Amino acid sequence: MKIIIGVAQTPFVRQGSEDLAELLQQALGHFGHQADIVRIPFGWNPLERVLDHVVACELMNWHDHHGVLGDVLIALDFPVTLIRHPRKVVWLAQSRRIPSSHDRSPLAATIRDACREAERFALEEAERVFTISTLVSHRLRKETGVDATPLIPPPPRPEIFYWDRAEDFVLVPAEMRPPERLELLLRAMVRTHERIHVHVCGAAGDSVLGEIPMPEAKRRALEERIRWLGEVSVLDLSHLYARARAVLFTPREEPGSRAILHAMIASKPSITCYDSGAPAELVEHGVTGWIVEPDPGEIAAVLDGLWRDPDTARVRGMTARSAFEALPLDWEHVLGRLLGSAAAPTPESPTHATP
Amino acid sequence: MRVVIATVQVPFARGGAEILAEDLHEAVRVRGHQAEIVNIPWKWFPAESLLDSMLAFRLLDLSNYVDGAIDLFIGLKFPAYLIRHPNKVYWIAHQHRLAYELWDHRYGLSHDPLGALARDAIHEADRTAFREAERVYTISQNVSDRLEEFLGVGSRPLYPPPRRAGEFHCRPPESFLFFPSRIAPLKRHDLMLEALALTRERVRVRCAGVGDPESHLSEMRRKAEDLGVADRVEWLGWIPEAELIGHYATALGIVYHPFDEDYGYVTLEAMLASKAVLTCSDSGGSLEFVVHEQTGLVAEPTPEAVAASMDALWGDRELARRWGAAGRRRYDSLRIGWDHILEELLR
Repeated sequence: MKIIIGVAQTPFVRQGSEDLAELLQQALGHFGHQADIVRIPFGWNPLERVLDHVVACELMNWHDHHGVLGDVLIALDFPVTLIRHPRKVVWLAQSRRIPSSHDRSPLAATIRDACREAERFALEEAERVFTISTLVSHRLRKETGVDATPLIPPPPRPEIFYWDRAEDFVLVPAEMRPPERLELLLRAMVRTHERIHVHVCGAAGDSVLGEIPMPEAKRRALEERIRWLGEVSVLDLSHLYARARAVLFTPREEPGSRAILHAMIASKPSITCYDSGAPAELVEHGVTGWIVEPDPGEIAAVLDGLWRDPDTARVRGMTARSAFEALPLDWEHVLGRLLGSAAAPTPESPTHATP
Repeated sequence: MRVVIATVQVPFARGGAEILAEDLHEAVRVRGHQAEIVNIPWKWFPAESLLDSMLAFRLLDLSNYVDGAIDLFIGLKFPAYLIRHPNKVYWIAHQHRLAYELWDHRYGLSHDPLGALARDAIHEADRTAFREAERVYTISQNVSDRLEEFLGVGSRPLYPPPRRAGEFHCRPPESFLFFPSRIAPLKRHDLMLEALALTRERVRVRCAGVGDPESHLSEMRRKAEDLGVADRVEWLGWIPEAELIGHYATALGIVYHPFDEDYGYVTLEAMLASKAVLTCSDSGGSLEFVVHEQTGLVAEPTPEAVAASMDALWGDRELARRWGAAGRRRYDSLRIGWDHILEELLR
């Protein structure tokens, strides 16, 4: 089948849904489909333009397209979900909205209402509606009343993640949003009794350390226990996971699961927060890791525990691996849900692209 | 600078337009700017859908995003250039032909009940869009002439260079003419074969390219057999770029006579390799570059005329060499290069 994967595009800003789109495209190709990614420009900023772009999507009517516009449209983002297509499947990667804290103007309220109505209508047109996590499903129901089943995307390159003997560091495998969550970790590290080390991946966070008021000596001591790794390739990431004592990932309301899924594959326990979103849906407190309040003291206690009682960490890591294997988390399953039972023919063996 | 390159696409199809957008994107980034391609699919049939699409594009606004302004908008196609932005330039390959010179064509708008309405709307939208642009460029004089004729709009041609332009080179010629192109009906390999059957000299032609569709290649092979010229034609199929460049380098001359092509990358590649070009009077884009009896020959699209042009080159290697060298000089004089293109677009 020819499948169009639709994402929103904010120029010069890479979307999370873009990563998912690429994985989905690869998976579809592996199962014998032709998939193309299509991007529609959209952003919540400036607010005045939002409705114009929403209407633009509603005007895109891809019915009766004589095979030109794909047999199926898989829409990952609002407002691509609004495009009319005879076979539309929605797999919402995020529930972006005007952050209500940022704008309480009458205009914002009008726009929020209009988007809600537009989305409700558009989702009714879809064959099937999924989201990538329970968090996104809850938000969607709250905003539009629409029920959507969470369908977790498999993480990238699961086959390269592995277990190795733990070294003396905790891994933060990706940027944690909002930035205050990194600060939370740093404050926790100040309070630990043991000399906890962390390796932090993602865009430079060392500036965050500079902004926390503390005596210089303390700052320098803390700096020695942190390695800022920046952007890390997925291959290097697999080695980091392998040798970590545990994975710490404590964002707020994160829609995606890959950080924790990779930890589970690598048989490592995870530390996350109650309000972390998808990560908290995957970790089982006391079984495969720890779920705590976003509080420096609580996090510090868990970190100290890792050093004092490495066996518990190891056992929870092994249990996390078993939990992963019990999940139906492979692309064959996911594509089957997205496309319906006719979806997934046997995967083709890798072919070289014909010129 | 932050630059957005806006175009439209037909999903699953990949052609010259996609390559142009990508090459432009790369060229802009290489010079230290930030660039992003906005490439939106659309449905242009029936006319009602076309009108909706036009409105949709008109509602899009790329003036700024998130944390700042987008400095420049480069529109490559209708209706992408309808998108709003305060600083637009266009670099277009053609207008929406079904509303212009292909109005009466099989798929033209004249056959749609709303066709006249859509055509008028397109003409009006184009007029507005061209007024909005700071500057309008095209990829050929041909297209500029049409813009002038239909809409009274002035525009300047900016020729995109072929990929890997720097790698083309010239070597002492062997005994074959090179015909690099997909084996598709519009490329007219049948004309070449019929001409080959009429040549006085024992002209040989080497063809590189896939069948598009495959059945057409089989048909051409059969035709070669039927005409008794199969022993003088080589069908190389698909070959990698490096090999292609090698064949250009050692060819006696290049045969390229498609029907009414937009542009003429093959012609430019031939000129880069300092080789004479044999083309036809209805070949479109190549006519902008080939100068009759100076850099090659422009023949009537008949087997007799094409045969005569092949014989002329085959029988006089010195002539072939001279015309090839002149072709190279002409290429250099046309300022076909990304530096010049970006100088204009980013002004």
